[in-house]
Amino acid sequence: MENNTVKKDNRKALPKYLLILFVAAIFGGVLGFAAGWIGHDNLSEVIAAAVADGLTAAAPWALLVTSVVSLALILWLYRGAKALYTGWDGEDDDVMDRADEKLNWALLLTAAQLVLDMFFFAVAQSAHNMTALWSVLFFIVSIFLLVFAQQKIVDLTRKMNPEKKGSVYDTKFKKKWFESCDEAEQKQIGQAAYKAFNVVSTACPILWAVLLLLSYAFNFGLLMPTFIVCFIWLLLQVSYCLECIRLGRRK
Amino acid sequence: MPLYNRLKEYRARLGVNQQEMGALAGVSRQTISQIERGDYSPSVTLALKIAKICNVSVEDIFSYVEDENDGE
Repeated sequence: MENNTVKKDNRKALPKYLLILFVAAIFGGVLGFAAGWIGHDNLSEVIAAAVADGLTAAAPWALLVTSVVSLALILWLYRGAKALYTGWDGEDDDVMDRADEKLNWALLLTAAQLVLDMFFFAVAQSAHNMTALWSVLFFIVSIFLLVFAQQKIVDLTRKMNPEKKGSVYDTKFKKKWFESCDEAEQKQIGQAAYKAFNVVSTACPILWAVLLLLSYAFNFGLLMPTFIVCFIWLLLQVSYCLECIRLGRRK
Repeated sequence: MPLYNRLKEYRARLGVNQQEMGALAGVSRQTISQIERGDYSPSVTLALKIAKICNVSVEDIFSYVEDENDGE
């Protein structure tokens, strides 16, 4: 690319970039001032305490309810996919596409519920009472059922796609599964991973800013939350760039 | 995408469904489906493999038609 083209592209994009920075700085300043003003009032401490208490009390039951709803939806999607597969005449390929999509949604639900379980379990443990003990039981049962659901989904996917390899209980499952994917599927995984990288790369600075503003408003310690956000952000950037360098060197 | 194909037609001539075609070509049913819909352009290796299975040349199945906007 010619040097002039590079300079021209930069000159064209720079004013918009500077304008966004300026607007974001003004917006951040106003929000920061407002958050600081709210933080001077006792009301913010009352709100923070009420949210923390409410969340801690609700966590075990939220764990139970979300698990039941998710597992019911997973079962419904799984049965739908299984019915489509068993009724497949071997000709209508749209039927298999629909069954695949149902299984993909079911797998997404298992992954999302696992994250929710981890969150509600951790919140519930800060209560140190009987409901915290109940949350241990809900957590164990939910995790067991979710892993079992993942196994059933993967097993059905393998029946529908005999070229796929790997067991959910295998520690090298992800590697084996990826290796059994063909060129189109590996390309899809690459595109999806890049999209996820972009989403998390955007979410991390937003989270950092939100945490900063909330700390002004609710006077909580910023060290651990920002450490976790920045650690995930750094881990993402470094692992992505190192893998790009490694793949670039590959002969 | 300027890559057009007649894979569905040649697969019908062979009398196999997408799953069987995928097994012959060493790819998934979904990939055959995506190629037929024009959502995925196969690699040269896969295109050659598919042509060999159908016992025709690659150009019989796949054709590249340049877009009018290309090169502007």
